[in-house]
Amino acid sequence: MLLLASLAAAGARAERPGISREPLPTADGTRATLYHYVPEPGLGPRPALLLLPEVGTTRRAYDFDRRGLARYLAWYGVEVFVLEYRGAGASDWPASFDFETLLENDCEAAFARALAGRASIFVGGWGLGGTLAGLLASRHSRQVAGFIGLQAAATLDLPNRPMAELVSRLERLPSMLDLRLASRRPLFEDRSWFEVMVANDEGLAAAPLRAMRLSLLAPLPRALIEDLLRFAREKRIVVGGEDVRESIARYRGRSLLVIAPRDNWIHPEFATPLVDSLGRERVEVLVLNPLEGARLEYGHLGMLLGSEAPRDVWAPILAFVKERR
Amino acid sequence: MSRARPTRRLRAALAVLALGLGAGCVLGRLYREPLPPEAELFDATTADGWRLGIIRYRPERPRGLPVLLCHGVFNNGRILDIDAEHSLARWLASRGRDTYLLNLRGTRYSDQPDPQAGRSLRYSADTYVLQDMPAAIEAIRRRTGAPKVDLVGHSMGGHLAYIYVAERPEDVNAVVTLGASAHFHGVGKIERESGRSIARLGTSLGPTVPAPEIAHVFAPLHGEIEGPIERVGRNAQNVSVTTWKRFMATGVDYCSRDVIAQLDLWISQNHMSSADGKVDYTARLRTVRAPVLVIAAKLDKIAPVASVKAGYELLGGPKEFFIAGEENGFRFDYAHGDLVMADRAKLEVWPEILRFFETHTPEGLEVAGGGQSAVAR
Repeated sequence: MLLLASLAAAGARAERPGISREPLPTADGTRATLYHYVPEPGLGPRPALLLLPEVGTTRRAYDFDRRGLARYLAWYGVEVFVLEYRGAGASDWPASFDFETLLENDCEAAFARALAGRASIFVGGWGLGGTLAGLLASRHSRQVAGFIGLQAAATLDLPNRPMAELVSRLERLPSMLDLRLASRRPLFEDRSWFEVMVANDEGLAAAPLRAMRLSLLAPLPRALIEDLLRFAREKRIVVGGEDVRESIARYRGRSLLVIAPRDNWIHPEFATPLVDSLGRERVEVLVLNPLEGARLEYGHLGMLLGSEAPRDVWAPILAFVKERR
Repeated sequence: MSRARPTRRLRAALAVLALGLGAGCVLGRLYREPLPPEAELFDATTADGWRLGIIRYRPERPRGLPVLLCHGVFNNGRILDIDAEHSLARWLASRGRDTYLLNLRGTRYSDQPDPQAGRSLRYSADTYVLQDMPAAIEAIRRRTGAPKVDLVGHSMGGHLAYIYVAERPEDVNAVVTLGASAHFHGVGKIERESGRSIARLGTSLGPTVPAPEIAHVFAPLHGEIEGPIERVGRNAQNVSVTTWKRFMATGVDYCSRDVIAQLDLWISQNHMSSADGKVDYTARLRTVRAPVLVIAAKLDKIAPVASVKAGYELLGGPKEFFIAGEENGFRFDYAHGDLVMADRAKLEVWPEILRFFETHTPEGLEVAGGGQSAVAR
């Protein structure tokens, strides 16, 4: 009887975090989308966290097939907001936008909405979304309780031969590059771009990669691709005329940087410079390899959706958000 | 009676330990690979009187400049020549390169320290660069007539190659470094602390670190369990248990406490320098004009990709960088040792070394017969 009761309770609790979707008007009139994961009442003070996805992806890295960091954190009492940028999912699909547009419009609007009625919130992001989150943290330092960078890029480069060859062949960029189609192309033998560059670690060995690719990836407009290529050629990410390493260095609060050594998309060497930018003494660094206590070597997507991610990644993020300073 | 019990237990424990040591040493030696008949072992004598064992693999049809291979810390030249299937030296020779394996002082094929014979226990990485490498290159010059060599360095051997080419560019045509970092501040807790901990442990064990004995004691376990050494040194998908055991039995060697202390200094100050800290070797990378190919291993925990790439960024001449991993079409991601002992290294990594040297072979190179090569002047 007790067993039945506890099973029923567990089943009920799986539905507990309320999830709502709201259109997010931005400064230039385009609508992005904000997903709101609300924990059940009565779990004590609820810290709030705004999560930004990787550029060119939907919110699904944080919530795929009813599992993900957003639901996990909400389950444990964190109020989570997940932004879905313009050009992805339920947001408006304008003909063109660039990296700075995402920051000035979508991210700023999401931050203002998540902050409403609160003294401060946490901000976090994955890959180039982590870069955007770091920029938000530096701009709104007093309202940011902590910054979480999940392989947040401080620099970019053409990291490997396939990428270098691809770029050398991109004489005419398409007006819109559909990553869902482009990433399914075979790269090496029977492995696609998506499998080699993004979904390459053991934690995703049993994952439904096709479904992940289709629901996760979003089209990229030419202007944004040109930004990324420029960042890679110049080996620095410049937003608003300033290198993001310098901009993010102005954030003086707490930070958690999660580094995935096996990432073939945002290489660890693009992410680790943020440790020095933010100041080693103020940064908690979580390196996802077995020597540092992780169960496996993580790649770009595995750090969020891999089989061991709840223990190796989600739990330390929860601890960071819940820790009182 | 109550006093006797602990003594008896202690004796029993010591006996078990001695048995383990003995069994380990025997089992360890079972995996030691002898040099093959085609290997030529000769001595090069340094200016300060040490004899260094140089192993030569002579090609049937020589082409290009001689290649000198330099090993890393706690290793000897055999890490680059474990067995017929896992030998960068033999592989290069089979493709026409006159190939030489340097065994740095104090390792198995070279003189051991002997203060009474004037061979001090005190030598550092500076000594390797100032004494051992010039002696090896001079010996190769005498045998071949070639004014320069192509240089390959693995791990600390890559550091030595960096330092040497900056100090004596006239000796070196082109360089390949494998898993050699230029700065040492890892971002992970273990990365930050393990190097210094190992260094402190090493320097506390006496003037010479008895790495081969330690390796032999644990011989039965090597590769059978995924211990910390395995996790740091290899990716089990790339390096078989047998190869790993052979490496531990054949390629692990002694190291001077002063070398370890210098590496500790590099880690603490985050750049390569002379043992007294006065000369910044990392800064000198900017002066390097020789072509350099820098190869990093995706899963390298000793020389993480970021640290290796930092050295590449500093180099002042023609240079290439690539990562040994799935992203470049390799079957598996590589770890530190995999670069020289992976089953597929001869298919995936070593052809890059040969291609690079061939691309940067000086024009007008003429090759004499009988394994002699020379550059037309």
